[in-house]
Amino acid sequence: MEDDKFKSLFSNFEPELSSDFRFMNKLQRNLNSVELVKQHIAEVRSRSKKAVLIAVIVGFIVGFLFSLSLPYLIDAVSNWQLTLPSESILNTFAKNFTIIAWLVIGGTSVFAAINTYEISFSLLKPKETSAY
Amino acid sequence: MTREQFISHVEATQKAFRRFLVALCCGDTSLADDIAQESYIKAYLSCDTFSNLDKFNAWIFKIGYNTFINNKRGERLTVGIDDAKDITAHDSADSSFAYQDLYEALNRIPAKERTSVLLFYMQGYSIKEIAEIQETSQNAVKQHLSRGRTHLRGLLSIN
Repeated sequence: MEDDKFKSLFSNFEPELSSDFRFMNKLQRNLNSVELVKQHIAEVRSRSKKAVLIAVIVGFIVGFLFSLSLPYLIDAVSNWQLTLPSESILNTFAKNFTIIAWLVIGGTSVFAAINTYEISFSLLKPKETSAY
Repeated sequence: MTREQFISHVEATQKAFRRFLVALCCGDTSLADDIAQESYIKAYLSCDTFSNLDKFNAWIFKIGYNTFINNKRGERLTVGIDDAKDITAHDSADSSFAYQDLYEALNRIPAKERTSVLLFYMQGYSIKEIAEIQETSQNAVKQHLSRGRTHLRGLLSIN
């Protein structure tokens, strides 16, 4: 019985709502804004993927070019090492030159890749068309 | 789900959804519409992963309920008594004074009880469906319904 009274109370509840037309119009405008944001996010993701690819390629090329010169540098340092006193810091440097050289090559490649990413990302930005 | 399909679902559900929200917001139609807009936008953002179109209505009510609760949590504003006298009445509140008693009664019961009562008696959802919407157990929903009925019975003098 009480259940019926509650059901009757709420089934007869017809509040004055704002116009359906206005509500749907406002929703459509909001959804248009959502679409714009989604498009922007997709565009940024695409740009980022391309910039990462370019950065990887550039980093690889830089590393490859530097490593081509490595055998010549190792030879030169080995010859130079012969002229150094055995207990000097320079001798220690010369002994570990290969490791240091690879670290420098790696660091340079990463540095080149990061900078290439930043530059590519900004250059790949779509040109904003003028309103005029 | 395409945008056209989404809009078609919205057009079919918006009236009942907004009616529910007006009752949940105790007559504040402006707030109810804001929550409805926000809920539909949230639903649109997730509609790609939503496949069970038969449960679209229940899904929207779930989002609407969560949005309402988040809104309530955010609005812990208090004003001094001297400032309160400058506050004018919200002219977007339901101008129909026929429901004033109902709104006052609903305003005096906790949000969870209010939601359970409205979903059960206004929208005709089952206990199980209400539990899914409110993300709680069926026993909890039964308790909310029972307490809500008791409170409303006293406030509205329903015998």
